[in-house]
Amino acid sequence: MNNRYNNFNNMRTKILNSTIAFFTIIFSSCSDFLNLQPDYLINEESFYKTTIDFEASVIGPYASLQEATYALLALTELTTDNLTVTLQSPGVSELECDEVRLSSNNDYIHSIWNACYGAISRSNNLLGRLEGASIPDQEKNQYRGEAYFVRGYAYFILVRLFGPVQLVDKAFRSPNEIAASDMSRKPVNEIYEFIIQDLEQAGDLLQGLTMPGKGRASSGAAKALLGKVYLTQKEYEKAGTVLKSVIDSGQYSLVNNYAGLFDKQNDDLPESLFEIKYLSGNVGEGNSFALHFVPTVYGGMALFPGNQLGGGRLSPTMDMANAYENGDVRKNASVSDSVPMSDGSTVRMLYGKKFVDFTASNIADMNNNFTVLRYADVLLMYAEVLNETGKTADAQSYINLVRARAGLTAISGLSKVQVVLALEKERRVEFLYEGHRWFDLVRTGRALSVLNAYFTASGLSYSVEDYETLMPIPQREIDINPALEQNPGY
Amino acid sequence: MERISNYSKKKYRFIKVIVTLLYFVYSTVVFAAGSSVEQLQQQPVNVTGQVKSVEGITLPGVNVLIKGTSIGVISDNDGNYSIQQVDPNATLVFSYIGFLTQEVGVNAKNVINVTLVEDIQSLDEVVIVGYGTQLKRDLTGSIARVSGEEIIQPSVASFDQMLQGKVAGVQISQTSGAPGGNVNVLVRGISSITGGNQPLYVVDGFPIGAGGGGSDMMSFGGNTFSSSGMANNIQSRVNPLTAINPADIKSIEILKDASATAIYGSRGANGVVIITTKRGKSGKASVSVDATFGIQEVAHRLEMMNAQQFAEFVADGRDNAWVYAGGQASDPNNVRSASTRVKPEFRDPSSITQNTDWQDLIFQLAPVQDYKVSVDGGTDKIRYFVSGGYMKQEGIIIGTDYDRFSVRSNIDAQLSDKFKIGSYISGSYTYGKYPNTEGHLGLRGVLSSALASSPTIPVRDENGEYVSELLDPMGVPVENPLFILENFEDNRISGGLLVNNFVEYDIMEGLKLKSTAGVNLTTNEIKLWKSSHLGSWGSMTSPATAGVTKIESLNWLNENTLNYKKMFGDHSLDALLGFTIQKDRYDRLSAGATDFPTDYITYLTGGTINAGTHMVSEWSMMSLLSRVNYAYARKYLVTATVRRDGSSKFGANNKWGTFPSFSVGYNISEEPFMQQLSFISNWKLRASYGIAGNSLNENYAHIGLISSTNYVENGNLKPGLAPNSLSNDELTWEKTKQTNIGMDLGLFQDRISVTADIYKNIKTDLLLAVQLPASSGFRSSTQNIGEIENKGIELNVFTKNVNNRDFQWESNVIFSANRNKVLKLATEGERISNSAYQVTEVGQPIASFYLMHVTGIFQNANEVANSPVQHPKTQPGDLKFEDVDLDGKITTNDKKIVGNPWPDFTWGFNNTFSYKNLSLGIFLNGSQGGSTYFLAGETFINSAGVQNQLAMVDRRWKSEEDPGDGLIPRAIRSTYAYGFTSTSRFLFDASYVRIKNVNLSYQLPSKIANRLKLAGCTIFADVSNLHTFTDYPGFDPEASTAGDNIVNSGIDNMTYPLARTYTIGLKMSF
Repeated sequence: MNNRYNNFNNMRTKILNSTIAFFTIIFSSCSDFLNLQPDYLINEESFYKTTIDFEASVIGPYASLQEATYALLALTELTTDNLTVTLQSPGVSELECDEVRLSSNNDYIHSIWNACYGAISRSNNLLGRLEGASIPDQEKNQYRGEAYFVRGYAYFILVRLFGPVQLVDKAFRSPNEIAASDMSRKPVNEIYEFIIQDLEQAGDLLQGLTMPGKGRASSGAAKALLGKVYLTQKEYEKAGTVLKSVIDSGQYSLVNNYAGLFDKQNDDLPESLFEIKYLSGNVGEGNSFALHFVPTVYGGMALFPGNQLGGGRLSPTMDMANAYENGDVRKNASVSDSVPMSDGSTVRMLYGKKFVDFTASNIADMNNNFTVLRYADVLLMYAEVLNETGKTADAQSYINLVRARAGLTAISGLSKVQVVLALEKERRVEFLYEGHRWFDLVRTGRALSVLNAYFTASGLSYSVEDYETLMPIPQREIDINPALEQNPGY
Repeated sequence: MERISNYSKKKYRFIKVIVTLLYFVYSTVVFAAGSSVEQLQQQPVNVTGQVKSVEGITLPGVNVLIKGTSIGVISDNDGNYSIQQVDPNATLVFSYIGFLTQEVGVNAKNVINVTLVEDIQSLDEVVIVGYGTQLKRDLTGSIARVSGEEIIQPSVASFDQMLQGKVAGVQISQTSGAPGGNVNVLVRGISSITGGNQPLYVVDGFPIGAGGGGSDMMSFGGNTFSSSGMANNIQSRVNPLTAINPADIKSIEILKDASATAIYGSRGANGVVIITTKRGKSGKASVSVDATFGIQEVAHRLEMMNAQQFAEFVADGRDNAWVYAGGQASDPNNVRSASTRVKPEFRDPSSITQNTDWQDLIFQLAPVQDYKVSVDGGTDKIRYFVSGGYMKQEGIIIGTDYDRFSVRSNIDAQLSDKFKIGSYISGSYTYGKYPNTEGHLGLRGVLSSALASSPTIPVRDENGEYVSELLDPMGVPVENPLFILENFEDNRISGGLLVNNFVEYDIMEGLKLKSTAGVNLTTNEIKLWKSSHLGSWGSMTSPATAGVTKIESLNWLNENTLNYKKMFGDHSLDALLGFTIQKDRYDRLSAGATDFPTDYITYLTGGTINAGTHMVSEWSMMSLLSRVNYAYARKYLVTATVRRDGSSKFGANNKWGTFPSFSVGYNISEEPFMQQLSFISNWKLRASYGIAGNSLNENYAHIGLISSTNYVENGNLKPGLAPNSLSNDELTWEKTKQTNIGMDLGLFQDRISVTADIYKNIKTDLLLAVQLPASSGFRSSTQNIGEIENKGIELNVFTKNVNNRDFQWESNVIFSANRNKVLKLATEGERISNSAYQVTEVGQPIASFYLMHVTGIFQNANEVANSPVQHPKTQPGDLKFEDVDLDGKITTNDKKIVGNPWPDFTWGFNNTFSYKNLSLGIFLNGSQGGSTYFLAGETFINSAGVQNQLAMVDRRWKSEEDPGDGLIPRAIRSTYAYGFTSTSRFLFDASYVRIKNVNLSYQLPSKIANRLKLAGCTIFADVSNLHTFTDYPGFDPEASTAGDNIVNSGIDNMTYPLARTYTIGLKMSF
């Protein structure tokens, strides 16, 4: 009995001792115990130190641009006489683009806004983090130049679509910093000044460095883009100077095979100045253009392996198909009206061929890169500068460079006004599916007349009004910040 | 043919089981009768024995009487008794104040030891509260108690489902009928948008976390079945609470107000469900066996159009589209556009002989078996409860099933007068199959494919091959559902082990120290596979893909409490002080593969593994807690609690929070002046106020993170990184300020007892993803902004309507009504979008339906001309929308709030009729006033002229003279209704009245049972989900595709239908 009591006494001592020891351990490590970090993720405290960190960070802005391409096509091609929706039950957003009656809830408005500001804020972040970074100057300048280029390009898309927009040039670290900053819309000229500054810096900083491919910014790309900015502002002298310097650099040339510009091996071609890269192989980097450019034809559509069907959201219009001159090699490279079926028959339906890989086993995961800037554009922009500055004959010789590659005869002896129209037509057939048409028509002040004529001729009851040349600010942004004014008319 | 034989096989098995059971009952009766004849001849015996309580304490002064005589004795100080010359066939009656009277047959035995069970009057009922127990009489908070026997329902996997309609203030909905599927438990309304709404579950003192059984199928499958998609389909489909064998449960307490929940601090705001499992009673081993067998069938089938109606509908829809495009309805196919062509035989519907009912093919009569065995017993010093269970449930959709093995050992050992140790050990292993039953038909959802399929085609062609119109331009572009079932696998396995040990030490009289240490280990495996024969959307095939996810979750807990209980005259004090520490680690590994050379191997190794993720996410908590209960003369009651929680989930400046509560109670019926009102047997008023928190947010929401974002370089993937979220050092828990006023009333010796509560809860510091301007580079950041109010009333009325010797009738009515309102968000006009269909804005309930408002159908051209329209081509027969912003156009800006998923009230009505040994239970429950968005209606009542439709579409608008029922627009296969898919016409009243359960049971008379050496034997027959009265057009009004994501509840996209189950069963104890 006594023995048993002793046992329990011992046990009691043991338990009490171990309890005390336990509590001592717990309390001494108390603050550590409640500080947990997600070890499988990177947090900002441990990052932005080495060149490798910045090389990873410079990828961010480009990845944002990748997200913009589809919305860009919807807003700049579907809105025009180039493309239309053939999907049986399309979404509201596609139809709004097709009929040029955009609402502030439009999905593409939201996605282009988000993608552009994504690229801008990632560039801002990169520039901010680079300020105090101790990495070699050469790399530092390269990354700064790339950030300026992407930021300038993104603002250029925004200002052309929306007019006055928010001008953000710094990175944020907490919600309070955002709340404290000026998020009002700034006048168009202020935005343009900012863009020009960015692109000039990019042009300087990126000079003379080895490019890791045309999926990244280069001095030539920055200059060509700057030329486009000046052209849009009708600053023809400045545009001429900078575009000519790109032409004279001798770095770029037209490729012989027009169709090759858009196939799945369209990497770093001599004609390309800047392209958005895609990669197939189920790694999340493929594009899904084919899903949108190609229609749905049930019953064994044999355009792609495995009877894959398209979506028909961005199909060429009949007007587009008829816009090509006879013998234009670009037609066959750009559009087709015959869908092969697995039973050997064909169905007549228009579809786009650029940037589509007809051998893809998964058409939502294609390899074709999207060309943002290419030499043909530089030539035609320069032709526009020449024509606007009274050198109409010289302008035609530059247009003829592009026509010759398309297998077309040269034009000559046209008046200035005729050259304006010739350029408009040439740019249309040259750049279908490349996101230029809407910007071209708005820049030349021809949007209303061309599009309304197209609607009338096609028997469609839609029309474009003047206010619609600026698109509505996304409703979400106005909901968050009621001080942000909507564009007039919406 | 094969199906039919399968069906009859099952039917045969069912009959066999009934016959076996009947034979068993028959033979026991015969055996009992036979043995009584034998025993008639025996001699009187002398009987001795000992009487003890359940706790093993010997009972002195127990009356022991020979039944039917006045001969009796009283037990001595050690509980021993001795009685001479007893008829061997006599029955002894043991009675003792405060205990239930027990009768025991002598059966010629000489020693009869008896354990008496305390007669727990409702007032002296012991209620489990957080970190302790309390007498119900002394409670000041709002706690509902349900005993294990009350909830038990056969053929049901999880106890949460059984609580439906049984607890006031708790809205329980079974969101999916899938075996082991999710059940939502919502205590006093929804109060969080991002932070989770499920209560905290505490099993035998171990907080296992918030409930929620997954089953959120809103984005299951994503857009493709790519290898990364398969690897990232990590949505759980097995309700983790099914791991707990319901038969092991002794009681469930639901803590509703802050007085009760504040002791759980930052985890108490959504209510707390405390599950207490059974423990051993000292005495000889008592074995109890339950065996049930049930047959399930789909409770409600959808009435679809038949072949003739379908043919007419398709022709109608395509003709209208062709006319809309400028053609004539009489034009032949060769001049029409591809999508407006009509199969020739559809022009003469009466000629179609094929009439396939696709629901017949995917639904089956499914057996469910459930076996449970437990043994309990023990000595003075050591008591045990050991149980095991096996449940096997086949799903009502072929190819689906669920199996569970569960074991438990609960041990208590009294080491000395002062030391006690014990352990709770439970383990479970479940597995289930869910081969893509839900989901969009484009993603090969079995249910939606079956319903969409044309009734005019056969299942198989003359060669035995499955028929589908997937690639038929004139057919319904869906895959054959039986083919899908053969080519898609979704297998789930989960295991759980919960061990919690404790030691108790009596430091001195009234002062007790208790320490626990426990671990809860759960594992989950998801294995998905899609064969190369199955594609998605319009593709017939796509490369085979597979995905596997393994989730391992380890949670450990240490709790130390000091408890002091003391009576000083009329004053009684019960004080608690505690320290707890808990940590959770969630570890997930997912991988996906594609490019399988064959379809034979469904494991990743058979293909090329090219997708995967590994993540580890942890949280930790440290808490101090204390509570004081004080009572004066059992009349005036006061409870005060406070808990201080530190959590890793919150910002550096807000790691610790304090959660206090205070409550008072007043037992008026104890007052002398109440004594004359003798019809009032008990009357108590209660009031409480307190603050409880909610910390069900993400683990690292306060830390700014950088995430990967990729690009391409030199033909290779180029990995990059970009800021993903902002830091927020201020981030802290959501807090609910809860006020509760309640009353407990007992009348006529508790023949009527009423519990009523009113409450008002204000949730502040709501965790919201505050939207940020896109130009900042961040979409949103989690901040503590916003307030939500829930207020409501709860009523529980229990009545013994008839209480005769042979016949009793008891009723229990439960009623709960809750009103939810958002008081504040980041900005006054902010509209948070909870889903494509739901928004949250100030002044409205959370997640209100925000849709294009359909006001009718255009009847004629005149009406179209004089109304705002969505499109210049709108025609009679099209939908008419309300021009909410009055701009003369119908656009997506014309959405408005048209309802919400939250019911005005829910109720339960339980009746038990007992006649002698026969007992009949009838349980009804219902919900009134909530709405459900029938998302599947976008396919099955869309009038598009493609997929087969609910039969109601036959009553569509056909002309001004034949306008149908006014709900369904004309059939047209075109840019139908201008692409406004989310309209109020798919929103339906989800009110229902359900005959939830009918149960008839027969308890073998104790005389017979005793002779069989059985302590008890009951046989029963039960029907659950017998019938549901509702206007809702889908399978079930409670269905929610979002599963446990309560914020998105009320959206039904072909959720797994509910089963009606017929069960027979047997319970025996010996």
